[in-house]
Amino acid sequence: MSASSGANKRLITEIQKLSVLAAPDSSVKFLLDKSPLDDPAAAASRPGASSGTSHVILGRILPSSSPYNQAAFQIEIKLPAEFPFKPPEVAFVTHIYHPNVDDKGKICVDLLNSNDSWKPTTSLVDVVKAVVDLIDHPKIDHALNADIANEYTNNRNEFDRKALASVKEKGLSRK
Amino acid sequence: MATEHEQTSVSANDNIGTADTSYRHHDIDLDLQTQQQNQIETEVALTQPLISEKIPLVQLQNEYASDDKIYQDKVSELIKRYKYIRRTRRDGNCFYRAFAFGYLERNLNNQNELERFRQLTNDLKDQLVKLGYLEFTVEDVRDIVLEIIDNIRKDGSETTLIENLCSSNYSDYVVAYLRLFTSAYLQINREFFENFIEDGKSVKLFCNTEVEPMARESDNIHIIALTKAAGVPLRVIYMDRSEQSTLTTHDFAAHDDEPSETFQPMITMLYRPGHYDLLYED
Repeated sequence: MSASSGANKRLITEIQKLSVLAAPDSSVKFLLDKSPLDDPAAAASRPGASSGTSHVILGRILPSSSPYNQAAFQIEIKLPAEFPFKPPEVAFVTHIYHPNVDDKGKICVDLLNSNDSWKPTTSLVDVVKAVVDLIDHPKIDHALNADIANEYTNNRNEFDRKALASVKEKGLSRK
Repeated sequence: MATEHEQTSVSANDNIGTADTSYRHHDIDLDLQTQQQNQIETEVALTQPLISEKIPLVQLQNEYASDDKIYQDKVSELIKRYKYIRRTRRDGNCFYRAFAFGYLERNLNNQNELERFRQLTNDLKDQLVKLGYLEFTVEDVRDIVLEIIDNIRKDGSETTLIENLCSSNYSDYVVAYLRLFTSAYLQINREFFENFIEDGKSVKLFCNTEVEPMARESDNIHIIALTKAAGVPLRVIYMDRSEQSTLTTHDFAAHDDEPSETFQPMITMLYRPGHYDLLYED
């Protein structure tokens, strides 16, 4: 069905553009680990209300800010059946010690808020950029983890120590 | 929405005990809200088709209490002028969906008009790229709309129209693209429209939050922009609780210099607070 090739074309292009973020001169670093294109049969079924399929993309972000710039952190991008009319769901698979990520790996990014900002023309590269931006520039006012937010503001040395320890322990390779 | 964050956000000065609770509340609030919204959407989808069949307008009388004089009078007057109504799903996209359906239905066999609209649809992509939009995601939406127009041009049948606009995946692409039509027009004419936007929001911000995201409801400003962008004359009949027993008619001209005396709508809609349906004289 032609609409399916339309949706597939979008998926293919989205993944191509995500792959390009691995280049050394890319402004935002992202390493694609797993995508629906790895399995041609699965990729053929498009995300769509009728098929009820959702596609999952896994990849590692490489933040630039300290201490997160010492490791990579894998995130899961799940495209719902209604994509692109509903936003993708993004969660951290790798544990990260950060005020804006909760202990389940949930993150709150404005761009993905379906009430306000998500538009069908937003790309997954935009999404990844927004996630990396949030990691590199924590938003304390909108923290998802109160304890860490507190510590970040009132006991920065302790935060730095714990964040670094967590990065060394849980962080993945940046290659 | 930003307000949710402001209500439940954690301040660094909170002591850990209360901060923990408000963080959990934030988490729960957001989850609950999303869950509730999804539930409502599913219910709406089950009980309301995207666009209904043509329903005799007299049935509207049953929607209002028999002793509700204001509305019964207005419905009576409406029935004098129009015979049928098509209901649209109440999902915040009804204006755009009604526009798309009404327009294509009216022009099922008008090859010239469909060609004109196809050209506009095609050219919008370049306009948007010039405005800074990402080409491949805009093309993704445009290509499905072009496909729909081509399907309709091929056989000009109401069945094809209904197949394309009443199945949610195809239909939502048209809604998304009409939102882009509206957004581009507002941005290209931003000096004019800036004056009509509340809170001193910039046109760009308005488009990002009130035009392009799905399910955002439509006001006069959206209607003006889309009718001009698409070159389609539209008539909207307003029906509300106001005391005057006459219905208010608002004509939206396709071009600025159109004289009002010769206005002929291509599409007619009924507006009741928060919702648009399609009206037919026959």
